[in-house]
Amino acid sequence: MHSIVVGVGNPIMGDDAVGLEIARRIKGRVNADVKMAVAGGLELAEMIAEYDVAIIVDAFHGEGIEEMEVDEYEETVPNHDISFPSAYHILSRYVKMPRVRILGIGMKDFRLKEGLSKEVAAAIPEAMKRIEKILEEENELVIG
Amino acid sequence: MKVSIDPITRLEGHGKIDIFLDEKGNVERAYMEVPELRGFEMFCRGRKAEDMPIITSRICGVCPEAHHMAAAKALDMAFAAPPPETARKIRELLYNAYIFYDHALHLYYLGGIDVLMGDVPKEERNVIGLIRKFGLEIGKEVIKHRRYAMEIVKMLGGREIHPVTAIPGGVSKPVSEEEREEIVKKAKSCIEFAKKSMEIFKGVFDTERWNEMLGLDALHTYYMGLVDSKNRVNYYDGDVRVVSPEGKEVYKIKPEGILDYIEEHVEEWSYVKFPYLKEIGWKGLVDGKDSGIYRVGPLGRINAADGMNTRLAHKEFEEFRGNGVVHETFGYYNARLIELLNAAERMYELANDDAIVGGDIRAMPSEPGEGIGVIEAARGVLIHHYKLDRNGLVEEANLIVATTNNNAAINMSVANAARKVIKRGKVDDILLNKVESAFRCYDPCLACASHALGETPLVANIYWKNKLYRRLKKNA
Repeated sequence: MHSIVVGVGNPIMGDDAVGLEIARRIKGRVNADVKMAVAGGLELAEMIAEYDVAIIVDAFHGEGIEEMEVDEYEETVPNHDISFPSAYHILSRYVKMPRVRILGIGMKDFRLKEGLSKEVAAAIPEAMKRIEKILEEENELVIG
Repeated sequence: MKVSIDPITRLEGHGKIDIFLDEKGNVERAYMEVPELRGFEMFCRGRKAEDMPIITSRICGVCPEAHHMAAAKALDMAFAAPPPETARKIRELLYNAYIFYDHALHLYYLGGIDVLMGDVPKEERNVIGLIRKFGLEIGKEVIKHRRYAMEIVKMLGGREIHPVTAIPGGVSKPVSEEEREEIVKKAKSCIEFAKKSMEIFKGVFDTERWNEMLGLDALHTYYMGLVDSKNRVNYYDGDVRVVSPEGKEVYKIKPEGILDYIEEHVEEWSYVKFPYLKEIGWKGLVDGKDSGIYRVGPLGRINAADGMNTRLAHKEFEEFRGNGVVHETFGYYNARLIELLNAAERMYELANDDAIVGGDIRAMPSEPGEGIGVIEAARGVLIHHYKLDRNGLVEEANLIVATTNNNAAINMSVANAARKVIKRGKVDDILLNKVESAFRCYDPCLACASHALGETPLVANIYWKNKLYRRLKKNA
């Protein structure tokens, strides 16, 4: 199974960087390619094309850690023309697109600054466990 | 009555169009407004100068290469370290790959839909509608060639989308022979794709519908763009050339002198400033020779230049500019196509240049000082200006971005298009899309203009008889 984990966020917008931080920490610990993306939308969809499974980790306006569907991943896409769901569906017509699992981490502090809030930083270990678990589940699906 | 289009669809950043109707329901005035996140320049103060190419590229998910390169160029100057030939060519090669994939995005996913699809219902006004009309093959080609260009950026810039290799005085990574061979192949394919794109769009440019679109808006403004020593378009380097509405050269400015020629007007209803040519002066939102408003971006560049630096693109340039300066705002699409071809040809040329695989990739920086970096973002002239202290920390940072340079013109184009299509209070989705299409010609990046770092779209509010008459909120 060819998998990718993409951490999405902006490193200078407070808790929005949490996806990037998770990607940085999880690299080498999971059996998947790990990338970081500042852009969402089309670039993100192009980045995951042709993998079997993609896990996208991003901050969202909310609380806790939540898994969401592709079509729900609209609000969290920053600064982009074509939303991720649109881009995903468009690309699906031409290239093999992966099964996508999206993990959202609730933000506390979204403003121009570097560094995560204490609450969001504390959620990182749990988010990493969730990613490992998702990869296990997906792997079992393939083996099964 | 006031009509707003907010947040503007298929564009970066977020914004709002307000349209005010008079008693009879005709357009009295129209504005584009962009919310601003203040304090980015403040955020940069006290930071290490060499971090600026990375930090500023985070402003925007759309033009990171442009900010990365403008920052590096400003630091070349601030540290008195002009990059050696190989470094300069590597940067230019990366930069042309960025221009290519950015233009392909606009032509096939964003504004180009207006041109290729015309007045169709909004369900068909997207790339899927485009595939239905032009076939699956072109969709595959778009994806393939955008990917090629991004892979070139990644090879040269160390990362996809957000490159990290431009540093004060040069680049941090040379190009290997294997990489060069790979780039040559990809660039060659990109040239074929650009030629095909030209053919597809020209199929529309020959139609009556295109003439109607051209008639939606024309502004007799000044034009500004970077040119090389032969006055040909150059995205990465050169002097800033300004031509009058008649096409005569008014200024040819060394990048470090640019800020002496422009000033920024402030309107209380807009967070985004309105740059204009200082000597000509601010006369309000009007065009003509006496108004200092200028345009940048593909049409600005092509009007400000005497030609292109590659063979096929120059041929197209001559055809497009045959009758002189082009003022029709939809001419941005012709210009963008010419540049798509030019960027592909230039990638091929640079990759075949033996200097590209040289080993001398950095000049050593000297004492820190002040630097201005001017570059052509896909959407126009981008200026980074830094003052560094003696420890190499940023004392002052100022950014004038492409969309800000076009701010006055965009407002005028929106108002002109609105006046043409909204009559007697009749407003519907197709008419509003026409208003938006005038805006989209510029391929503006509102995130950059407002330094907003996020969140897109646009809303249209239409006001009539002192009340909100219609509100259209659109997601991409």
